[in-house]
Amino acid sequence: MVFSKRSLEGYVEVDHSNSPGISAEQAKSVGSKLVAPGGTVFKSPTMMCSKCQYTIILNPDRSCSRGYCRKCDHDICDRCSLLLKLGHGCSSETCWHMRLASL
Amino acid sequence: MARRIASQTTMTPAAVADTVSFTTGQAFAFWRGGSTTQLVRFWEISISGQAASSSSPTFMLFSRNSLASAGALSFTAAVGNDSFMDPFTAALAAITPVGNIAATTYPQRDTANHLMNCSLNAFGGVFFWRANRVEECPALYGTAVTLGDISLSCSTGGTPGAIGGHVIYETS
Repeated sequence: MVFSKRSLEGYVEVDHSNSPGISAEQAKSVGSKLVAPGGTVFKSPTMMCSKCQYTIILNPDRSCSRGYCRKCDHDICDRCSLLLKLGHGCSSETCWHMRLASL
Repeated sequence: MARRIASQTTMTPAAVADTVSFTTGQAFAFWRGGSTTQLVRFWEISISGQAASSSSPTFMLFSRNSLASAGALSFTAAVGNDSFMDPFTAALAAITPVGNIAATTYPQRDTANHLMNCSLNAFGGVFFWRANRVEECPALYGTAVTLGDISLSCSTGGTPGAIGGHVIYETS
């Protein structure tokens, strides 16, 4: 069976297709960036950043590339992507997947 | 490992601010470690809006608690329940307390440790989240404040409406 990284993804859905939904202002008032106004459905995969272990909701409208660590062969979040560019690469101390592999 | 499902047929959560004690039936549910070393992982949260007639922004938060619950936890009979997922699940040595009624002390949601924003409009809205791998699951450990106590409840700012739903969690 061919392995696909997509098999590692979680899933989030907010269905407001038949609902007044939650506006951007209302979402912002509770610190949420997950906006699904009335008449819309938001469905997206989620992934876990190797380094900080944050669960990232992938923006379906994103056009720029995502961070990727060649050392651990996993996607990483934007914040850790910046750290990687500054020379803070994955190690068994900082990366979840490398830590698992070393067990 | 034992997966269980906590569910509510229908309930209207009350909007409760962080660091304010819940009262009976205000939250969807609280979870606390069944022992000082019990690890509980949360795999899935599904909330479906059931409000009948008007827009009901319901800002559900899955969050750690800054004041741990005490005493037995339970649901309103016939509305909320907690059941095994697999019929061959062995009985746990220490059952994970879950419910939205606390016998002794109600928890308080922590300000600094919100885990997931599960906001939906209860008038026709649906929220669903599922983790794929074990490391994606929020978890609680033991019974101590913050680490060992989690709630799914409604924050302030909206107009909570009736909801139903379930949470799948795994005790180990």
